[in-house]
Amino acid sequence: MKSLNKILLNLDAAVESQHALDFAVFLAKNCSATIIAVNIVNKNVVTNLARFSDNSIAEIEVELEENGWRYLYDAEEKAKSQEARIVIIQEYGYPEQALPKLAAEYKVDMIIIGQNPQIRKDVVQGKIAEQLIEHAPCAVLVVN
Amino acid sequence: MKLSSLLTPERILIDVREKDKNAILTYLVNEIGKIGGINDVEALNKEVMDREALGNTGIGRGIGFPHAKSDHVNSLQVLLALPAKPIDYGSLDGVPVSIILFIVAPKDGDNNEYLHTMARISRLLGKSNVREQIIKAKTPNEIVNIVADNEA
Repeated sequence: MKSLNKILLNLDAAVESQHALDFAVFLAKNCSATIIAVNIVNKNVVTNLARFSDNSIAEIEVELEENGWRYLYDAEEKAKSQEARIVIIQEYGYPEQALPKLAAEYKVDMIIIGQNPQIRKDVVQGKIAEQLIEHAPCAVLVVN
Repeated sequence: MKLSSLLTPERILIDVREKDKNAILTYLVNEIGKIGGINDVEALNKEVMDREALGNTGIGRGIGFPHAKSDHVNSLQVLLALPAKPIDYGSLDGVPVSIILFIVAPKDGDNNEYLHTMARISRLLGKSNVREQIIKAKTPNEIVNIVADNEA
């Protein structure tokens, strides 16, 4: 097996995302790898929230961006406290498309995402892990 | 608080000629120290360097985004710098850095304000046309106007 140098970690509001973070920190520390933690402001989520909210799309995006930075900041603090290397970034788009693209751009060795097993059965949400596994240029780890 | 009200002309440095990434970061810490809001410039510099050692803040697309929460900072400070030539920053995508946005905040300060500012910076510099305008700008006031015009 080739060495593990870069891990792309998807961070979102899901509890499983925190489990994925724990896994990424453990691997990064033990393999001297760097975690590239990304929060994707999901366009599907923005569109869906806009349907049921009085706020404008711009306001919803700002709220999601700030929440995203909170996940990234917390992840950075956790990684730093365990002396694991981490880089944090925020992107816009659809996770199932953005993650393979970022993985190729940054030449990562593994993508880690957290996802609830029940969500994976959902027709819309479930496709993220499925499409990611199909299109990723590297190994994919889905953490429950 | 809007980014345009934090990024005043004295917090924008153009044509920075330090020779490498570490020299530029030290320069930025010193410049923020001169403006105020920092109680120990040397200690802050060490923290910024330690942070870089634990993960590069070159986030790609020619942007350096060094950031830290520190006991040596009294209030949220933002500083934008344009190196005279793009510098090798060890970024994720290998692209040399042309814009550096430096943000520091008190360790026990308002986390919401810090995250709010980081989100605004990320949103602003995520736009390629804004990055191009900033890189081409000749004066700090020009950049203040670009930021104000493009801030949501």
